[in-house]
Amino acid sequence: MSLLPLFQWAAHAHVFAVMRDSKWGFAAVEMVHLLALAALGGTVLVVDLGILGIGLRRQAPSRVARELFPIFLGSLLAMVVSGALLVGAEAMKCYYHPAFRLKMVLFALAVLFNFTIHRSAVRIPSTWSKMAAVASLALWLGVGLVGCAIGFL
Amino acid sequence: MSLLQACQWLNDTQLATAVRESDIVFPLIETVHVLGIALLAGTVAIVDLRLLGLILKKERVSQVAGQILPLTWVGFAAMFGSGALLFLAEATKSYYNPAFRFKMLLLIIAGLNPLIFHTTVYRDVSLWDEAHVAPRRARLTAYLSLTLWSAIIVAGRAIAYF
Repeated sequence: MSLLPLFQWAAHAHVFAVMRDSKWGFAAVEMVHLLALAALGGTVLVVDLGILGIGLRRQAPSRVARELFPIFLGSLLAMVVSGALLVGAEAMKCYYHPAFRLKMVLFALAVLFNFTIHRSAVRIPSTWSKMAAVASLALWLGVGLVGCAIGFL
Repeated sequence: MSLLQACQWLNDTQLATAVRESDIVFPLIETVHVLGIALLAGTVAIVDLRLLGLILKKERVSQVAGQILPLTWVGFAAMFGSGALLFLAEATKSYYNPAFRFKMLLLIIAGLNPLIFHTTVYRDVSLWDEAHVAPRRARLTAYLSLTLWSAIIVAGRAIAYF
C-alpha cells in the first residue's frame, strides 16, 4: 500500500491551507514543535543520562521515568500534532524527501523502543538498562538530526 | 566604535565569512543549536517544574537542582558556542533583526533571573528543601523562567522570518 494518495490529499486539503498560505501560520507551528522538543528532549536526556550515572543518578531511574512520564507523553503528542501540521503544509516535499522518510522510520523505532524494551529495562538498574538508555539516546538523537536535515537538504 | 560598526567588523572577519559561505558548516551549527534546546531549556524546565511541585516532589529541591545543573551548564556552553558562531556569520543582518534584538533582551533577563534566585530565596533552601511546593518567591522565579525560555525559543525561531 502506498502512502502517496494520503500525501496528495494533504497537499490540497483545506485544513492545511492556512499553513501553506501564511508565513506566520507555518512559523507558529514550528515554534510549537521546538517548544515540545525542549520538553521531550529534556525528559529523555534526564531519564537516560540518569540511568548512565549522569545528572539524576541518586534517584531510582524507574521513579524518575515515572515522574517525568506525563511530560514525556504530553510533549510527544505536541510533537506529533505540530509535526503532522508541518508535513501537511509541505506534503509533497516531505513525501519525496529521503531525510523525512528516514525520520519517520527512526521516530517509529524510538517510540516503539520506548514503550517496550526501554520501559522494562529501566525497572532494574543493570548493564541491560544502561544499554537501553544508550539506544534510546541514539534513536532520539537520530530523529532530531534527521529532522534538522529536512530543512537543510 | 558603535555597536553597528562592531557587528559589521565581526561580519567581515575570516571566520564569519567561512561559516557564512560554507554549505555544510552553517547547517551543522544550526543543528547543534536546535538540538541543544533540549539540554538547556529542557533541563531548566525540569528544575522549574520541581519548584512548582509538579514533578519529583518527594525529592529534595537541592538534590534535583544540584544534580541537573551540570547538564544545564553543558547545554548552555553548547548553545552559547553555536549561537555565537551563528551570530558571527550574520552579525550585520542580526543587528537589524527585531526578533534577534528581542531574543538578546530576553536572554539577559533569563540570565539575571537565576542569579537573583540563587543569591536570595535559594540561600534558605534548607528550610524548604523537602517541601512538595516551593515558597511563593521561588515559584515566581520558576514561572518567570518557564515563560522566558519559551519566549527565547519562539523569538529564536522568528529570527529566520525577518
